[in-house]
Amino acid sequence: MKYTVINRGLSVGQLSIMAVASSSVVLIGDTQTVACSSIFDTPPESLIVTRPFVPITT
Amino acid sequence: MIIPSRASLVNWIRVASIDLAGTVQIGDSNQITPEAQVYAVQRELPIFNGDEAKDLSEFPIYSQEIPLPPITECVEQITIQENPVIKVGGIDIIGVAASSVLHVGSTQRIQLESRVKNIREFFSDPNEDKSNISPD
Repeated sequence: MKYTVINRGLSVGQLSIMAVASSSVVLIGDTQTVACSSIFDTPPESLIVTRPFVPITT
Repeated sequence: MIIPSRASLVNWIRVASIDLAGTVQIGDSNQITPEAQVYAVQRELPIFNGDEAKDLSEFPIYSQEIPLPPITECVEQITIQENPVIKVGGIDIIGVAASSVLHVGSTQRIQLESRVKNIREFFSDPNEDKSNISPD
């Protein structure tokens, strides 16, 4: 496949971002490749009901 | 093939906070490859001993392979930079999290990776509490 990109002009007034989260990118510029990968693990067994490990009051 | 890249013109940047392995890069770079491994323990009460995770290699999440999409298409790209400047008035960011990047300038390759394991520990059963509250 052949394709042609003509960048005639790019002007942005202001960027207002709350958060750039894990494994994400804000790019003001050019790049060839971007590959963002993320694993987030919250399995059912990660919810543990236990007793306090140390006395809450001393 | 190296495509000629543009210059980036940003008048001002305000970043309130940057987390672990987060990056603010001003200027061109060749490649960006941050990785973050997070083991997050949330407890009903903030009581921590500091030895919650001694060895992360026992969890497969930190070693399992993440598949990347195969790039098989043969693309012939021609880029013409008629106006070789990207203009941005200002950037206002509250937080840059783990393994993430704010990059002003051009690069060749970006490869980000984050692996997060989240543990929630309750001192009483939260589901049991919910059944007591329900009107049934």
